[in-house]
Amino acid sequence: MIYLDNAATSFPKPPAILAAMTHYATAIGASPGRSSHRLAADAGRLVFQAREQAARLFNISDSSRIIFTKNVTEALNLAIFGLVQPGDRVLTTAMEHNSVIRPLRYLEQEGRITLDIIPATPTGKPDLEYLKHQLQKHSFQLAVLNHGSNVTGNIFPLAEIIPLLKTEGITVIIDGAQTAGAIPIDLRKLDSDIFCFTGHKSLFGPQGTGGFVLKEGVLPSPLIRGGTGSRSEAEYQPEFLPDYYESGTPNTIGLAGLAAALMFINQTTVEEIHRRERELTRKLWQGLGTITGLRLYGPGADQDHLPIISFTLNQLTPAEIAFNLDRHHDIMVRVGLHCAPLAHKTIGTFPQGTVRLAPGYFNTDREMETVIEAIGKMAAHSPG
Amino acid sequence: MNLDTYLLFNSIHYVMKAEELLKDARIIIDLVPVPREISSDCGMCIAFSEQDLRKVISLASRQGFPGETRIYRRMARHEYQRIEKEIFGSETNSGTG
Repeated sequence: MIYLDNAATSFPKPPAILAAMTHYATAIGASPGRSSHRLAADAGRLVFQAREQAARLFNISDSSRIIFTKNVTEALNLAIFGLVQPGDRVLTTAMEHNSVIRPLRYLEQEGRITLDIIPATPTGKPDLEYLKHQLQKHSFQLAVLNHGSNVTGNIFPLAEIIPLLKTEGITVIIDGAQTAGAIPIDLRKLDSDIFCFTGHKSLFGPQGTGGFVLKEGVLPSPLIRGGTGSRSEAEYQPEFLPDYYESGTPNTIGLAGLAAALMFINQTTVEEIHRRERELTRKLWQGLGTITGLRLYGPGADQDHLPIISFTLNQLTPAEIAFNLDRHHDIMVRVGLHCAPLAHKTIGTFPQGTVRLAPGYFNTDREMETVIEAIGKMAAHSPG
Repeated sequence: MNLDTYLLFNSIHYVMKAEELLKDARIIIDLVPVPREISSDCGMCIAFSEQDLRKVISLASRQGFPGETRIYRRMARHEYQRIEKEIFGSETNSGTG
């Protein structure tokens, strides 16, 4: 079996993740931050370790600014709905996932915001000239930007974009769903106001884990309010971090896994993971590029790139290719629009979508060769 | 050793941070329920010996915990005295969280 759907959920996970979750389930089991017995303290330590490891990965000093949610979609919703003010003019890009586009389109439809979408080139690069032009023309309050595309693997030039937005006093939310754990991220340098991440993709954590990183002084409204284990006498939500945003019993077993996953990444280093995944991606890109009738999308694997490749074949639909790969070659890929219709419109693959190959750190060179061979055979034997 | 001095934070996150910090400094501490006389919180606080008070305050100040940090001394079975203000002075750690 060759699993190439790591951009949806990474698999397999490093063994330490499962061991940490089993340890929590069999030896701890309690609620963190609620009671005061030893097991509650142990659970509290696990959640604390997850925060500390995440702070280390993103290079921030105060880990109370790491807030956990169940995934990046929840984090993005909290960030967007927690910051937006009626009448705001909001910027986003044509490469966004539905987790960004749908909340923004909803707010636009409700008449609460004006939305401006920065177009991108057919290879997925945002049009910076258009952005600069719009910044001169209008006054914006909020920008919600992808850090890396889940369709083409593009890494967005945020180091170039964010300073332009900051000069205009615009609050910046980043969707780091595909980049967290995949490329080095230094949030002190990046200067985003809210950076959103998910645990189950390149961070190697279990599903049901994710969160966001708040810059100092940024305080969106919480999405939910309720019990935090702190200030129990108060009938109003405590406004200190991280409790302000984390009402209700957390996904402690998931966070135990995420803590172990982050530890694995910090020990291995993101640089090493990125280097290895670049090798695999380049190999795939080059191999697929020799197949007649196959079209690759995105900036090309000689660019700095996430481990994501989208392609189509002249003769077969993406669904047929994926079915064939699954049933006859034991290769798992993802097809269709990848929850990013706007991105597919940008690269010209809407509504059919593409086949997406997303290798991960644990794939081998040999597996990449097998995949290229299988797709090559399919292209050669397909009807005309 | 009598662990009869209590370090309180508004969030469990800082209790965990302080636990790590103080244990690394080899100060003997225990995590205990917050005494009801001090607070109605359902959480934990750090108990330590008053002989380590200076060290604890110095480490806590250097770490710079945001929000409210409170220290209590147990005077009698149900009697606690808040003491951090006399030690920290008025300009630090007096936030209300």
